[in-house]
Amino acid sequence: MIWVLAECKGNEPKAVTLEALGAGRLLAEPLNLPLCLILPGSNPASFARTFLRKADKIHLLEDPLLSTYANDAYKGAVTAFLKDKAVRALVVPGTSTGKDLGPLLSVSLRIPYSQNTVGIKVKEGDIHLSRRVYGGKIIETVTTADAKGGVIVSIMPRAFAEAADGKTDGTVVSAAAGLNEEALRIKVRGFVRETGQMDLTEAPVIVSGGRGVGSAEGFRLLEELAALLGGTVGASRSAVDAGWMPHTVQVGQTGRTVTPKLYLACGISGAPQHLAGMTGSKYVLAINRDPDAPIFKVADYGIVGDLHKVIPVLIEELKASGVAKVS
Amino acid sequence: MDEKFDCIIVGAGPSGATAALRLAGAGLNVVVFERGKPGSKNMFGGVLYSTVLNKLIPDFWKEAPVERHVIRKRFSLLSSTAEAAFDLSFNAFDSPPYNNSFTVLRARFDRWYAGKAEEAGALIVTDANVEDFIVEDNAIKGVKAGIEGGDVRADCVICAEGANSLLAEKSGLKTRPGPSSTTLGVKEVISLPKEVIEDRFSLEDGQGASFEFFGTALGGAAGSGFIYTNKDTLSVGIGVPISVLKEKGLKPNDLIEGFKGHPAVARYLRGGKTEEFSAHMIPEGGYKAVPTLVKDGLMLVGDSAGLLNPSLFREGTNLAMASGLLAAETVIDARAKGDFSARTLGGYAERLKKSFVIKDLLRYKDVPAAIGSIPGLFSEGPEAILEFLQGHFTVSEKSKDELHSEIRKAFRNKVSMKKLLLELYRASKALR
Amino acid sequence: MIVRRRRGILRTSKNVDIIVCLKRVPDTGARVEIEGTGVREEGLDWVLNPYDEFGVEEALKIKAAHGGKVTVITAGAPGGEDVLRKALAMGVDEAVYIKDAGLKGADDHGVSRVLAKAISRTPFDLILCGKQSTDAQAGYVGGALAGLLGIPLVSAIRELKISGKSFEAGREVEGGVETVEATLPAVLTAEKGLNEPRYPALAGIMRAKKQEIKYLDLPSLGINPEELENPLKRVSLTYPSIERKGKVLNADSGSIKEFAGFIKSII
Ligand SMILES: Cc1cc2nc3c(=O)[nH]c(=O)nc-3n(C[C@H](O)[C@H](O)[C@H](O)COP(=O)(O)OP(=O)(O)OC[C@H]3O[C@@H](n4cnc5c(N)ncnc54)[C@H](O)[C@@H]3O)c2cc1C
Ligand SMILES: Cc1cc2nc3c(=O)[nH]c(=O)nc-3n(C[C@H](O)[C@H](O)[C@H](O)COP(=O)(O)OP(=O)(O)OC[C@H]3O[C@@H](n4cnc5c(N)ncnc54)[C@H](O)[C@@H]3O)c2cc1C
Ligand SMILES: Nc1ncnc2c1ncn2[C@@H]1O[C@H](COP(=O)(O)O)[C@@H](O)[C@H]1O
Repeated sequence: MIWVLAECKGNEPKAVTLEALGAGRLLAEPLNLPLCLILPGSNPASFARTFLRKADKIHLLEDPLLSTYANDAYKGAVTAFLKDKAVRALVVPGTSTGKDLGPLLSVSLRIPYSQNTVGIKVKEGDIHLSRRVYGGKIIETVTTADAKGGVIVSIMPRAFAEAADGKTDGTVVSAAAGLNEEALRIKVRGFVRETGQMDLTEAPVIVSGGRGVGSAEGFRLLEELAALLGGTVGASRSAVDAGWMPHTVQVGQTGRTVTPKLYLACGISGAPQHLAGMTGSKYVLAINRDPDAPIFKVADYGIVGDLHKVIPVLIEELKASGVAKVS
Repeated sequence: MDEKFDCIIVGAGPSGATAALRLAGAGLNVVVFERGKPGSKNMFGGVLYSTVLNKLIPDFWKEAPVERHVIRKRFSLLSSTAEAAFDLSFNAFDSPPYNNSFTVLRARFDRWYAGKAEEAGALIVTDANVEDFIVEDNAIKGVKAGIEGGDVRADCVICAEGANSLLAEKSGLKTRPGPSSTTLGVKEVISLPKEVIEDRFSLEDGQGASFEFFGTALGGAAGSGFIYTNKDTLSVGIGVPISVLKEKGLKPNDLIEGFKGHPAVARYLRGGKTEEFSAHMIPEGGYKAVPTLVKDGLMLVGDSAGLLNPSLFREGTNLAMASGLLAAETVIDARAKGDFSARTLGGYAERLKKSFVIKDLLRYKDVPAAIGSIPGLFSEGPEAILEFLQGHFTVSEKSKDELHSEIRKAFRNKVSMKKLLLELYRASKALR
Repeated sequence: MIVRRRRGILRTSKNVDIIVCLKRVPDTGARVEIEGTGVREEGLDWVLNPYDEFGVEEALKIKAAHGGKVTVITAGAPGGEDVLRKALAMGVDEAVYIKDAGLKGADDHGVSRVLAKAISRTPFDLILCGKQSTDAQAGYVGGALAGLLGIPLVSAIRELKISGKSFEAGREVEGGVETVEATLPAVLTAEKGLNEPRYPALAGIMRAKKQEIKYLDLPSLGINPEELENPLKRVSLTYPSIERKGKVLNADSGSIKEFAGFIKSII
């Protein structure tokens, strides 16, 4: 069977869950296997409906201990649930949750794990997974050594299209999570939201700035543009090292890997380590003073000019054209 | 740091690593400070001349990361649209010691070479920029390196910091070389499949070529361009005196783009991808710019001492290694005597004088001045010469006599024959 | 399990003994080239995985505050000495190298088993790994070690406070930092921001040069190389097509208007 593990925020499924279902379908259809969704949570029944036309079977893994993510509770519940079931693939979203849980499940279920997956193909019954390695400089394609063996597929956010409604009419079944509070060793105590900013890996639009922005104040202009487009601000390492932006918004090999719909690089040269974090974006746009900046080689559209002059005009143009925010 | 070393070496380039290898091999306690990682930021044109290296590490090419050995040398004169070339190919250079000419990429070579010094027992400290000397009674007693515990003392210091010689200047031995005796080298590494390179340059596996370009290679500015073949990349670059860049307000970037775009150059680069871009100073003042090389507790070697032969092609690595070796020999003597004063260390300058290093620099001492004072060699001259040749070889209905007298007339109108011949004479005399 | 019993019963001091896992990776600036079904190793510049530097630094900080011993360990084919020496120069106490030709080509699944085997032979309170390696980018080994050794995992930490046997860690998650509490022994994986790795001091570099590295190999760990067969087989390596032939215009009011139009058309 092809399994997909849903990721929820509070008691709501996240959009990545739909992408995971999209990826799962790329396996389920050619392999002619049912696509099953695992919905963990304290009250998953409340939103199971969302998935009725997207999965063949929806398994509710209900337990108050699953209300917020903690890896030992989730690992325990999912392992107990899948232990005796056939697993050809388990798709998990490549979020902080999926990246935390995937390797644990790989050990507890004794099936291999493939990270950063950006491509899925079935060839003569074999599952071929393509994943980014070496900071995205290379794509590695792997298959399970054991021809019918299972695999945990952790997918890159936004690498797969969200599953559309299909013909299926999913059934919903409940399963016991079988958790024992005593055995849980990880306690989640709280969450501190950072500067009220949208998360980079989820933002549909990222306006990113580099050394060319020149100062922390310079980033205000980028923030204005980002807000207008319904996105958030990212930065190159140079801008972070200069102290203009916090490192949490650094994009690149040692920062975040982002895949927004629109990535607008302002005053960023396009060093390989930066490109490693953003070339998966759907559209890449660049503003740079230097016509030979490498960033233009990976851009769909570029403007050669001083960003301090270009962006204000751009903001005016966008306002005048009544640009709508990305949904 | 309490420990005292026998010798401190600043810089892990060819000169510094050679000194370290020799000294450590002789059992001395040496430390090398390198501001980056060996080779990481170093660049040069591309041909390592290895007479000295081969003495230190016989048959080094069997283990060193060399790219190709040069069997083909080509010199060409460019006008804006045409080229006259002199192409030499030697089968004798295809067997050991391969004419002591190997193309290398410094990032790899320097790392390997510094590793050899390390194996011999030298301590190589990376990411440590030497900021100043420790001076007592006007004698150099150590260095201040930019890491924790980086104030280190030694009997003597060998300064092998390369062309951008801030420390050598601080020591008082040297003043900053003027813009006319410093050349800026700009280089790109362009990748192409191995087979394409061998096909395009008519080479077999392992064989390499060095192409030097003169004339209007740089849009009429004094300077030269080069292409050297590596395994699956080309080293492509130019060198222009800083004075010329300043005078004409030229941007190095435009010059290398112009060079790469010249039809006689572009055909070799077609389909290649630029992998690296770098720029570096070259001390091209020649013999006349060589400073005093020693003071109490200090010796200058390699580029920081201006030991580079700026003849038709750049020879720096060999001189750097030779000077590093001779400085090391001198330290070994000084240690036996227990005297590191300028008098004893002066043995280094004496040794250099007897070696090919100073002999060659003396021989080509007039080249820098000659090149600088002959602007015609880089603009009208090549244009006229190539036009003349083109005329000569043009097939037309005119009688040969008629044709020849026409082109001779045109040629004379373009350049003063007397001036051109004089310039050529001076240049050839300097280069002879 | 064995580990826990050991820790729980035998240890009374408040020392924290730490194992930091180190991986040697190609410098991120390096040009990585495909050669056959692998990557061309010749000419690559190798460095300590940057995330592991955070691990080493954190271990040294914990040692300074609580006492204990810091051991670094790496598993792999030849060449790993450099990264161990780097950590020794930074100030760790001991370096272990599981050096075995059988590890060449072994992926994270095998490496995790080998590391777990070696680690389970030494007492420890804490294992630090990098959040991920910059080459495989798997982020697998830390979690797998926790799973194999049966101890808690907190991944991608940016903050850490240890008091006695328990600790509180700030985990980097989407949009913020999550505070997690657990007890030692545990595996933590380091995220950027946890600390600023120190530069080795000259004295440290000199000491590291003389310090001995402890070598282990697969037979000494009782591992048969065949057990390490990768469960995922490589089919191919390819270059991604990241180049886009986009339009690049000089800034003027017309081109900016066009640019704005383009943005509008895609969002
Ligand atoms: C181990 C390692 C890991 C790294 N990880 C990362 C990483 O995760 N992320 C990352 O980004 N980098 C990373 N780097 C650093 C990377 O190599 C580059 O140094 C960095 O990305 C450069 O940032 P930049 O483009 O902002 O600055 P620069 O390269 O200095 O480029 C600035 C650009 O701005 C342009 N500009 C200047 N002024 C203006 C203006 N007024 N208007 C328009 N354009 C202007 C310039 O033309 C130039 O192209 C890493 C490096 C290493 C060694
Ligand atoms: C474009 C170009 C083309 C060339 N072509 C050729 C050629 O084809 N063949 C040839 O033989 N020669 C060529 N040369 C010349 C050759 O590169 C030099 O002569 C040679 O590298 C000199 O060696 P060196 O050891 O003296 O200095 P370098 O190679 O410059 O090494 C100096 C080292 O010192 C380090 N350093 C500097 N300052 C400090 C400090 N304060 N603290 C710590 N470390 C420091 C540097 O990082 C560097 O590693 C060329 C040079 C250039 C620029
Ligand atoms: N061969 C190895 N030897 C020791 N530690 C390793 C090795 N491979 C990975 N690690 C550790 O596991 C972390 C995550 O690596 P990876 O799972 O490969 O992304 C690294 O940062 C190291 O701490």
